[in-house]
Amino acid sequence: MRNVINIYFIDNITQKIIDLNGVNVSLSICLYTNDIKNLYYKTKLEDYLVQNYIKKLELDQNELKKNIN
Amino acid sequence: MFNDIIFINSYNRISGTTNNFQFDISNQIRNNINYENIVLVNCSIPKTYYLINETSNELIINEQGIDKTIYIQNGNYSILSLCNYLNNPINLPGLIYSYNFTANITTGKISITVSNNNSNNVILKFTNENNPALIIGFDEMEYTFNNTITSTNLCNFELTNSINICSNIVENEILFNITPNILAYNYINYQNNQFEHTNKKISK
Repeated sequence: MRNVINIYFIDNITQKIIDLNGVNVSLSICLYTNDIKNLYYKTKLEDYLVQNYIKKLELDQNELKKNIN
Repeated sequence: MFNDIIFINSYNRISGTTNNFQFDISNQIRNNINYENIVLVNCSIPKTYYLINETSNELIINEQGIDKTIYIQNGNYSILSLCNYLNNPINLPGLIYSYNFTANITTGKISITVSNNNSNNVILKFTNENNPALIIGFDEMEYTFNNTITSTNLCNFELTNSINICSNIVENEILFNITPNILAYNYINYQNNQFEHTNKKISK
């Protein structure tokens, strides 16, 4: 996340920066994280993938043991 | 969910101009928060840009095969005041022939009459980057005439009909688009009430 941001204003027709002739502008912006619901499902998905991976590793391990025996 | 409102005023910029500036937000955000989205809450932008400006102030007239560039003084004009400006020979230095610019208030178009040209052709060139074609009702092309020519379209003295508020904090840089539906020298005020439809991804 950058600490210094750049703000500018473009005329949609000319696609050039608008010259406000030295008069100041103000604006408010809201920065926010993804919502909890998304975070919950993301965590669940990661958990599911990890569990699947562990299961696969166990299967591979069993297969390997069988082959050794 | 974490959210923080950042208040920005170009007066407190750390560098740049009011048109294009750098602003330090470090004291308004929390450390170790992975902000992912951004939305404009409100804005107040002065409508102090000029109708004729660096992007539209060069009118090229070709006489006897030579391009003459007329620099129109940057500023705000009405259809009548622009014609008055262009009818002052002081403002058309270097031209050989005489020109008369007439505004037709009924049609909203401008007519240009050339005289003392011995029926020689004059070419009005709107092919340069900074031409005023759209303002005075012409298309961005060349027009040849030897008497009178009338603009093909209506003059547009409110050319800027939408403004992109841009920032490098946003993916693709366009944060919001507003319509300046007020008269010159007033503030374009906007309060966003549709956060869910207008939020953007923060650029990483």
